[in-house]
Amino acid sequence: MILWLIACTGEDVNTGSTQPNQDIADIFVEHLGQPIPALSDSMRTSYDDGAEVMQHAFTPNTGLGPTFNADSCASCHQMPVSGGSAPRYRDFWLIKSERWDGALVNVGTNGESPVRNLYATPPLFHVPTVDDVSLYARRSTPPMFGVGLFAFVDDDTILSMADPEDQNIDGISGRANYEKGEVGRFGYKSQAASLESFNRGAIFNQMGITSNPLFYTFPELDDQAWNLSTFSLINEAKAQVAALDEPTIDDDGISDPEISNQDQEDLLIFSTYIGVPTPTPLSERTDDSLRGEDIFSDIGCTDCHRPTIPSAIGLLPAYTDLLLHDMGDDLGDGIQAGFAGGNEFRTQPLWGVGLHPPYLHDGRADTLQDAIEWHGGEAQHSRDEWLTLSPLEQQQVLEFLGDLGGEPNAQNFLNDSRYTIPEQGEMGGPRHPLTDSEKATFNRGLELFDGNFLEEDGLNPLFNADSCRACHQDPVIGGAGGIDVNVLRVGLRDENGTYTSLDANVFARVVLPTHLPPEYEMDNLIIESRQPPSLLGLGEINEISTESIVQNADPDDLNEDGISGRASWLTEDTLGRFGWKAQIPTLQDFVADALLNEIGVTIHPDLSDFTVVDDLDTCADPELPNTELNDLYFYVQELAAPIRSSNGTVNDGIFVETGCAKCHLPEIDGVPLYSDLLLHDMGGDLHQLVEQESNALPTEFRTPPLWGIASTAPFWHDGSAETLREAIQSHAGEGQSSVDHFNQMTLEDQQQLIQFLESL
Amino acid sequence: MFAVAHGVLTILMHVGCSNKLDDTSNDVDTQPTWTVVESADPRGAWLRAFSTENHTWIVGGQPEQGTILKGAPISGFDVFEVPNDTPLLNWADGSDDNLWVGGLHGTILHWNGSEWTDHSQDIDEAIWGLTVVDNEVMAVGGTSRWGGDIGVVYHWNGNEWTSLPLPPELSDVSNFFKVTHDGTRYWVIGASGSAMFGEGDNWTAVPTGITQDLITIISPEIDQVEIVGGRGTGVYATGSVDGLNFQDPIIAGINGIAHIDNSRLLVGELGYGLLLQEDRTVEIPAVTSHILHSATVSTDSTHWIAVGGNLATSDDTYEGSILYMENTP
Repeated sequence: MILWLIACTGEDVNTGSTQPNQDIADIFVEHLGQPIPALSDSMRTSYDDGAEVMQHAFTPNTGLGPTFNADSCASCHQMPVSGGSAPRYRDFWLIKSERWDGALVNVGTNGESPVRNLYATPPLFHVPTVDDVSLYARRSTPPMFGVGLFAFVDDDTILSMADPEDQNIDGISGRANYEKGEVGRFGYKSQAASLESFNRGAIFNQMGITSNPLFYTFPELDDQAWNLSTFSLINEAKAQVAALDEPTIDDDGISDPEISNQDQEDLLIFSTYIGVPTPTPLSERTDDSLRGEDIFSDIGCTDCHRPTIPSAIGLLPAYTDLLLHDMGDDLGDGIQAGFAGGNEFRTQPLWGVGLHPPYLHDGRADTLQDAIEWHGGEAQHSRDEWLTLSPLEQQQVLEFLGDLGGEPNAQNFLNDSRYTIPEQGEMGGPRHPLTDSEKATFNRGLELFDGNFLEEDGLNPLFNADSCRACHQDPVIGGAGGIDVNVLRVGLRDENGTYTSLDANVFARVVLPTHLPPEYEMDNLIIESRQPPSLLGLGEINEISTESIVQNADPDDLNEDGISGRASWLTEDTLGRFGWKAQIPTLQDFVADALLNEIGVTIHPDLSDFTVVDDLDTCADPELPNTELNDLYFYVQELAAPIRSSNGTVNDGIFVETGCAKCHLPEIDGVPLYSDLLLHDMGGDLHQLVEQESNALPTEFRTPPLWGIASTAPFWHDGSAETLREAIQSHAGEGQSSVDHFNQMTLEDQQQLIQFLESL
Repeated sequence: MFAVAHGVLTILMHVGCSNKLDDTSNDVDTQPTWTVVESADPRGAWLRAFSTENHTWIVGGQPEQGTILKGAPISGFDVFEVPNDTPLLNWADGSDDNLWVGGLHGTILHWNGSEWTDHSQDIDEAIWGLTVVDNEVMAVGGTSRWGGDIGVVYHWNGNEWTSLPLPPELSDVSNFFKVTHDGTRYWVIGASGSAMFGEGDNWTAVPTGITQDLITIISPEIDQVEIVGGRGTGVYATGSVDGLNFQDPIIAGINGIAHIDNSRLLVGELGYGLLLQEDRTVEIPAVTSHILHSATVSTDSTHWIAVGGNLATSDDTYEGSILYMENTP
């Protein structure tokens, strides 16, 4: 806090009409994700409830969709804790199409929002490609830390900094945006004046969750200055903190609104009061950092990135003026929002800036240096001055920026992975006692798993994820992926059912900022969604002998029990055991396959047939050095299986009686995975399937392990079953007799079977 | 919370007005202020106010029961009975003995001075606007949260109603919000910047180049129209069949516009009001958080009137605002 007091000495700031407190506001938190200290106990309850709303994963049955990019707020605001920003794999696009008269119309969510959604709820799975997109504008998820506190800034305070005609002739204009008569402050273009409307827009645009306008009075805090209700337009008993708007509606068969007002209120409390990363105390700052702060001011950065902005709760050291500035053609995205033109953006706050690369509105900058050098327009002069600085001076500025709060996190680690390494016996921990050396290897592997790959690391221009963790983080790192990171496999099937593969058999969800998203010809295209499975315990599966798996095969159903079970022989002596189709033989191959197909990273071709010699990007192959691959592989191999709950043996009998255990073998070689690792025909009507590169038939699937199943919802290879009950009842083919048995059971017995599965 | 943004307002000078911004626009002595007739009128949200020779009419109500008020800003407004079960009424036009009103679910009613006649269309769409020219009526509408799929235009020729075909450019527009007559032709405006003009059966789509909703249109003089709209930020355009001239944005979405000579009153979201006069452009301090849906002028042109309500909410019942202020040229 001392830092800011000193930084503001002599700062020529207009205090606005409300004569706000001139001390730095008490807004810093020790741990990211905590609320500002002034929050009362009663408000803290709402805040915590709001944090749960952030994490709540919506499903098709609770309103997700019909189209979506994410299934929870925290899916995007995840880094390094809930409420943060997102790595590049969560970037999304605003899309517009040119109308007959030249107007650019939204063609995103529900045809109303500009946001391009990647997913549709089952059975469609994927949003058909939009025709005639005239404008793509990329967006990166911004962090929420401290942003809600801008609600305490008076309109006049923002307007006092505006100089739209550049009357002081400093080359910096700065003008306000507006929403419903109030000065905008939220969003990359300051297009929103209220968090309520901003939240409602985000949950609708990204998740298809509908809501009603919120009429709400903030509960009173002990310190009157913190009562946001005093900032409502009119001080009525039922103050309306947000702009009026229409209820959002959609056509997904779920009644609107799909989020309750109570959840909205809690979310509003969370997003309003989430605290600010603590800056480095003055006593701990280096001379270089202090010099960097001076340089930052000298080269004009503070003309827009104003160190503090007055508010009713004190000075907010956000390094922003909340105004729109022309950032030049290179950064311009063509999106007009209220008063904001295509080249105009709000000055991005810099508190905690080290926490959340990639930078800029479209995430094009991997580093702060890149971000600075992309500045243009009104910031061109400062950018040019930056380029004249010596390397030392530049480094001093960067050190200063790094002191603005939060630990620099260039690789977008999730918080827990860096500070809390799971121990043996904990979810996500190793399955063996590890020596110190092995622990170090495990930890390095975890960091590789959790950390982002950049283009220079081999990240392919078209990718589904920029880290392993991106798709394997439920309920812990190394776990499964949600429905919002499903891989979308594609193929062609004509009217006669004849299948033709494509050069690329998956939709790439994301592209690097230098590319536009690929468009696909949708005629005859069929799409199958594939859930990222949990990796917990795969090392144990890798060690099961081939003989132990094969001995359970009965491809001709010689025992006439209706269950065949076919070993997935990939070659004469290579058995597949990993993947939904048992199409991959070893865990190392499984890792290689995922690295290549989801991230675009190659390993040495001698180590796996599931990589390539050259993946045709600009990074030399192999892109992951052997030493790092070994660390990564050690980590995955050591990941312990999910821990069974204490009542896990209860009702095992009903599982066997139902016939489930015929395929979901309780153990092989002592490994309690509840799978026989064999292929079974699950029926032709279950789903329309894309043919695979393996020898599995379209209707054949490997029996998935059931350990830890309860924490990997939704279920099935495509996430089409929302609950365990649905998953059971949607079995067909060889699983039909068990379904019939299940359906004839009493509800109590059915529930006991489900509880048994949950115990696994 | 509202601020007078000189930098913005200077670009809003009405065509035909002086380009000189009056420095006294913030002078308390000349600051126009609303007088509140109703701030939370339980009778309903009010969507349209307009004046005939002897009365000012206000229409609106609740979703299940529309209401009409008749009166004057100072003496007050009384309920003017409409048939039971008439849904929310959105718009009205005509005269004291030739009053036409439109509402939800295709509702169109006619008051001939002594009784109501039901002219409702068998559609789910709402009638958002209508205009009366002699014995003709043009009614427009579209979707709402209460039903409907597509923008509609109906014409009453004095004997029968006809659903009019739309120009291909506007065939998929979800809503037409208002219609007016400029003395020569009809103008229709609606969602996503849609606009067209024509004689009734031969529409010409107007290229607006914008996607904001256009909410209200007036014709202050022959062959001239003025249009307002927008959500979040406002739209104001003037023009004719030769083209529309869109002004720079206004800081709130605008739903209503009225005129007295060269003065204009624009009203909209969160009680926003903007007065455009010969020598000044001034914001009117908001006294309600309701959307002001419509503006008009008293029968004797001495007062501006604005009405609104909380229609754009999910509340089960709506409440309204009725405001007026003196016209001080």
